[in-house]
Amino acid sequence: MKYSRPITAVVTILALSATLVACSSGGSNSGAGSNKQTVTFWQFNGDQASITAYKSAIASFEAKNPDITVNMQIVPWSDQQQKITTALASGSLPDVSMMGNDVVAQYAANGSLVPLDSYLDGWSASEGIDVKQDMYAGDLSYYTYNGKLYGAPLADETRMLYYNTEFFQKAGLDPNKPPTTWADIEKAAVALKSVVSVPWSAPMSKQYVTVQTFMSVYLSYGASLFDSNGKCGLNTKEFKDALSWYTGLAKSGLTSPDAANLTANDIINQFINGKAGMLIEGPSQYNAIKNANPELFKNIRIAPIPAGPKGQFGFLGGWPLVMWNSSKVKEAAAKWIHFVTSPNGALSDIVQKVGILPGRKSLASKPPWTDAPYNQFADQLSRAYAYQYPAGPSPKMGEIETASIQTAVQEVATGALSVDSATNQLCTDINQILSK
Amino acid sequence: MSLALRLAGGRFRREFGGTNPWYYVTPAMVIVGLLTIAPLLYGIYLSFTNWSLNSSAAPQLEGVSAYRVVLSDSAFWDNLVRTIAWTVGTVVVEIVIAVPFALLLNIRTSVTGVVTGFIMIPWITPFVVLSYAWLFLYDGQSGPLHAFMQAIGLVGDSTPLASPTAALWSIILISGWKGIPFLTIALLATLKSIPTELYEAGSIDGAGRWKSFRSITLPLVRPTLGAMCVVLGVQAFYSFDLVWILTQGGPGSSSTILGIQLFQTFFTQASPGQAAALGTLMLLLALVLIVPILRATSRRT
Repeated sequence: MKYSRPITAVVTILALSATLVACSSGGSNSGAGSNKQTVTFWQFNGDQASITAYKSAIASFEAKNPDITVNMQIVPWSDQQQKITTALASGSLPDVSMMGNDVVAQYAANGSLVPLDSYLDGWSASEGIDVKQDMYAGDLSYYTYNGKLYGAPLADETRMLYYNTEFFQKAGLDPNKPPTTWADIEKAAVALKSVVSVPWSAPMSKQYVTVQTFMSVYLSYGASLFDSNGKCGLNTKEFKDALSWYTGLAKSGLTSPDAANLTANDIINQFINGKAGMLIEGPSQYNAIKNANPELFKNIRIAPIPAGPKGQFGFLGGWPLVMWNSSKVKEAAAKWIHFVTSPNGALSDIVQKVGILPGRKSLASKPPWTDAPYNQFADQLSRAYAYQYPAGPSPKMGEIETASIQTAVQEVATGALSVDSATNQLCTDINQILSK
Repeated sequence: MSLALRLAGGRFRREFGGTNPWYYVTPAMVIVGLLTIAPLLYGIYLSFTNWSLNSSAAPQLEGVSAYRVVLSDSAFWDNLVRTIAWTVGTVVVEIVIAVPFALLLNIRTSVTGVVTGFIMIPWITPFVVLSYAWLFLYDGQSGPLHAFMQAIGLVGDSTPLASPTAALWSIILISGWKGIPFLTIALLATLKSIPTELYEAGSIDGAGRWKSFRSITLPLVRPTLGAMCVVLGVQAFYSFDLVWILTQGGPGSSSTILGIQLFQTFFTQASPGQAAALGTLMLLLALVLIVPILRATSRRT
């Protein structure tokens, strides 16, 4: 043999590695011979109920569409932003994914998502109703960017006040008269202080739950995130009053002493373990409390979000399915999106199994969503608003909510900054993010 | 190994190049190249692009604009100061506790072996597990360590992790504590290699304990100490996980070190270009910091 030894060695090993690489990536693409297409789907809910619900949805979808396979991958909510960013940078996006309503505009603006408008007529025809009419106005506003619709509403979420009637009674409060204003909730918290260590588990940390709670306060004080020029609109008396009131809870010991460093789970656990009197959370906690602490559950009631000087402003959460522009199987992906998000597809089954509110009005007007507690949440949903209300969605919202609002709350609550300097810093940060 | 296998192995070796070193080196080189060198070069390339996922789908070369953005951000300089304090603090905690520990363990007693085993626990436990244990210890309502710190007036009602003044040093303590076993074991190995004759000779010359520690022990462990400081220092300099789990860089930015800023630049701000520039700057800084330490500690007396 005349080959030089090093070259033979290197070539042999490279060939072996190439074979290995080929083997490992062989499964993910559709087979060249058949017409079978694979739709990769990122699902963000890792709980058993959700996984079961989506698995059965996939089974019935594949039975109806034998030429399409759906490959579901669980990406937890806490990791989804990192996974999407990494996938964007490395070109490994799925065909279809869930998405937080607040960041749809961001990915629509950078051209990563496919507008769904061209599919809507077909969807309406198959359902026999105008699908756009069947979606909530708040969702449509969140998912529309430059006049095009980028998300198919799957589920909606809003928060309400959970309170423990046992503590209310012990503190001399009427359990049939829950607080209806922020002033009331503070009075109740002061009374509860003598019977429970944490009267209201109000979050002050750098976590989404902080802005998700605090937004109901600042909107109800009449503050708005953007001014008429589209710049930061928070440098107003209304916002400062809201920030001052909310962080005052931490300073007067009405929330957990560690509130500035607690996660959403920590806060929920405090309430479930009977260590907190009040909690603002979504509908899925209803079953969570029932399962985790049935004894405590007997004393739990749900009330609407308290109102401020300008009225009552609930949190508007929700997640649609979106289609990524990099998808090579767009027709199949659209079929799957429609199947999951339509009342004549799997939507009813999924939202019932998981215990969430459907993103379609026609479903929400039927049982079990007309029964307690879901009817209360559905009612609250009609008074739920986006963080940037009354402005439309901003492509920079994802960064603004995490990098600025939560940090401002945390800094005032821990005494690092005054309300004035935190507000100034907040607006400097928001304007800097907007100008990029 | 059975005879047949050994014969087959021998035939394989003869037919495919015998003891040709390339066979043995290439897999490691390919793996190191793919996993280390290639990402490093790609990172340096990205740092010259100012790529932002919000505005462009693919990176384009843009000179040093990403570096300009990073360096002109006052937060970078604040975080740099904090990272240096963090690195120095971590290594100081490690040295202050590990040196006496190693000296103690060098005295052979009936419990030495057991204790040596036990002190390895922080080192072998993953950061995530440790972090949750410390979250509990520091908890404002039920944490025993917090109760102690509050009693001696170090912190207020809430966990030190939620305090803008205490968050950084309370995580430095954990970071240092985690590195103690590694340094202790390395020092112990060096101490065991010091011939006892040296100490005997020293005592004949009239050297007391302190004198023999300064003139015999310290000079002989200094190269180990220096090398270990570099390893632990570099590890601390690039820290991310511990701080992220405990405070996410908060409250405010009071515990934001460069590792946290790097993560936020990439994931929250979706700016791989600037994140790569920051990463490259961190690499250069680590190199600049390492060289003088190695110089200072490798000198022999």
